[in-house]
Amino acid sequence: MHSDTPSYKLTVSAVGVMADFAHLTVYNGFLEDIARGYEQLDLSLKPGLYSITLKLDGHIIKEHVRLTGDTQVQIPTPPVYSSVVADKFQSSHEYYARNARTYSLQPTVKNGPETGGAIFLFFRYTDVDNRRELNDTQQSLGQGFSLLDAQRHVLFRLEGKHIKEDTDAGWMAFHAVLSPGTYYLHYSGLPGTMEDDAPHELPAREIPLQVFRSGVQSSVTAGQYWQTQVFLTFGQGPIFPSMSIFIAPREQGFVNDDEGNYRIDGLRHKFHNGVYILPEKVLMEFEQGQWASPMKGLLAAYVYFSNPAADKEQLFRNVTQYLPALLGEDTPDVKALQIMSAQYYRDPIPALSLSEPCMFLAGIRAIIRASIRNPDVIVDDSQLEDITDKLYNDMVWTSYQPAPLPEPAETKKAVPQTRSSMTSSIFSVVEKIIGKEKTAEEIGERLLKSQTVSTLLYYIEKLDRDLDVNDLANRLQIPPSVVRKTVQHILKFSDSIKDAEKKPEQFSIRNINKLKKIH
Amino acid sequence: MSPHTLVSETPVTPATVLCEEAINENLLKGLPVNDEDYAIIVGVSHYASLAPLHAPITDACRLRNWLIKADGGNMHPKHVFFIPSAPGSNAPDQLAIDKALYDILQMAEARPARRLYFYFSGHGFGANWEVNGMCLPIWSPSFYNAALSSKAYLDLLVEQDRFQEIYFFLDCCRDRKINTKPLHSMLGSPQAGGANTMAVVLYASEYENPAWEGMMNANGNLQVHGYFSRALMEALNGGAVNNNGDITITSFIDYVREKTESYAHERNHTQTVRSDIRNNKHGLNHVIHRTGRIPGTVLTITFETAGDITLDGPDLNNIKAGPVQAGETWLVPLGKGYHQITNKTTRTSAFITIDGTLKTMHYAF
Repeated sequence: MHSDTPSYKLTVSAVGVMADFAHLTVYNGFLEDIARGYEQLDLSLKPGLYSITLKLDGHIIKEHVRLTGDTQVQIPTPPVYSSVVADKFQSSHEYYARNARTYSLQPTVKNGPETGGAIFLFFRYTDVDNRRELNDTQQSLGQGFSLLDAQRHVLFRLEGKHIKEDTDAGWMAFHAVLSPGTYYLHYSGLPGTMEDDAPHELPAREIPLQVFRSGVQSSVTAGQYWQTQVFLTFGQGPIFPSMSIFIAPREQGFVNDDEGNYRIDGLRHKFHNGVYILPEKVLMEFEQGQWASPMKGLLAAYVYFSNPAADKEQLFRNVTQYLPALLGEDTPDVKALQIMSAQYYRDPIPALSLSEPCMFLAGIRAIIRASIRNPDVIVDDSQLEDITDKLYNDMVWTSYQPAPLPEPAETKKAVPQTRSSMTSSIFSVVEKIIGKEKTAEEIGERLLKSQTVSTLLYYIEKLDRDLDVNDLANRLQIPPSVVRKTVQHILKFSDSIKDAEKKPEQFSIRNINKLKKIH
Repeated sequence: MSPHTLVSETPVTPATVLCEEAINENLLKGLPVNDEDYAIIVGVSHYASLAPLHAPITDACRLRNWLIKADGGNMHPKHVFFIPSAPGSNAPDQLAIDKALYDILQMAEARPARRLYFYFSGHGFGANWEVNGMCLPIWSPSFYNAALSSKAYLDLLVEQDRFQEIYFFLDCCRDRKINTKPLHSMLGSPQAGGANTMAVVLYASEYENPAWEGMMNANGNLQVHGYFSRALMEALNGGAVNNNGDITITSFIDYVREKTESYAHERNHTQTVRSDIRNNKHGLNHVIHRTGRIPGTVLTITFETAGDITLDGPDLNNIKAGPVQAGETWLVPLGKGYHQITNKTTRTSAFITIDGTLKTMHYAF
């Protein structure tokens, strides 16, 4: 076969920041989608009319092409907004970037240890005008935030001498040198305010942050201490889904023109939206053994194991083997990735257990999935178990509705012990759910406000067959151990109110009998 | 927390009109129908606590009717389970939808099944990027989880391996709601399996984004439609037909995405359709619906400026050329595709898109 019609080269490329993540589609003149991919497409096409669409970060750019010869089309990427104050992002400003750089190198917490890893937090508005509009009283951005240790003891409140801030420009920095381990960034929430004529409330939230140990087993990172860098943008309050987290050598601090940070942020953004793209440049870096950025490795591995259609098996087996050496094999995210990897390759779940949450929500989900058949994966009564039914799902990072911070000693003394004898008997088992309610009816109503309790009771009422803990765990997306404990709590509560005149209808004899039969 | 899943532009009473019974002419004539296909069509306009929506029942009704019509889905009416909400009622509840699913699964077990359509229009929220809550009429802040999990239902249907193809369409918001656990079906939780069922899933918007409804002109009638549902129906009615007269997976998704974006853009909104395809062994050119019709439009071009004009088609074939005066018009039948019109005198050029949905169109140049 021979065609007299010539073919021409059409090269379509996205240029500019985040070009790796710009999705390109080429349509032929008959509106048929003929090619799609990221960053650049090289095509050989017959003469004709074509259309190109570039999509990035919610922006859509369309261009038409009349192809009558070899043609290159370069489409500049639209402005990109991010929490990280990197130079090429539209929302970065010199007055933020400069201070982020300065305080990532200089601890704001004085008299702390000199050696170790570090946590660096940088909170800011999108720009100073935004601060003036949204926070005219110049409230500190650290308000309501605390950093807790692994036992959830308050190490620092983000206020006063522990932070540096400019409430006029609208930024706050916190930097503490810390020993490796798990820490929690606790936010106590914002009571209801009016926003766009609608009540706006920011619930309390806690985010586990890991300080990674120095890479003593890795020749690349020997002698380095890692700094965990957290960037967060504010609107009416903290916009948690915008949170960017990086891991950089502590001595290096935050580098505001690090090309790698754009790729990490792009990966995170796509991952957040369920798009599992790994740009060729990232894969090439891994193939060449470039491991300068542990966060890129973590994120890429999570992205890879979330994509059922991925095809770089050996490369990612290598990545998961290398990460323990880089970040420590006891690190929750490293363990979570080992579980996720086993689930992905349909290998047996490795014999390991976790008591603390990992930083990535995808890791927590993998651990919960694994716990249905391997309950020992989650340590009984651990912090990890406790949060599994309180997870928020609005960002790639693990976050959850936290228990209140421990009250100062003088406040504790003031709490009146006035609960009735009936309610005091059940107080210990439901204290994490109920508040100041006193009557059985009040406590029952409060108990039902727990999403886990109310949804569990809904299933109990509606499911018309033998109830199985694993089935309920799967429906509620929580570990079987948490289902069992919740059932025990409900049964104890129900028992304590059996003589009460009024109780919520969900606690009917039929439902309670069904609960007792759960196996 | 106040739900932010109501995105209606039109303050009119929600649809209470009954959906007229659709008739499959082939069934009346004793001709073959697609009796291996099934559908669950849910339209929820009425909510106990949320603002009423105006499009879901109308849109659900249109899809139901298309599925039954001989030149549409050509389905047996008894295979199409239409589940609308009603004013002053908490119906449908989960049981009603599960019951329909159960009936379909029973029928599909008795004889080979080819295809299942699942459509939901109503309020919704994104529990996370892969789980959408489809709000039941009773949904309220007190019944926070009274929503069906899109993923759990899809997984359940796919893992049954009962259908060759599943088309899952969700016209509802995907604004995120943290710490929600939409309900799994009472028919069971997904198990391993489902490798043999292809599933084409279309969400009306990307995760964290709303889906909109608004007043739209349909053949001279003003009616409220979801932008996504409107695009969906246009696609099925011929908009997504390729030049062979077929609607393929790719032509269908491309059309629905493009038109939804376009309807939203016209009203200063942003709405991007998200598609996911599982187990597609057939390729993207798999034919969803064969129409046998080649799409085209008669275009009236009014020239605002005089000049020497050329009109070229998708493969650069010249369709018409010649000098024109200002105010002059051309009447040109055009096939589906991009066309380029050029005024050589003024050296101006424009691209015209014919998507094949309109019989006639006007263009000023």
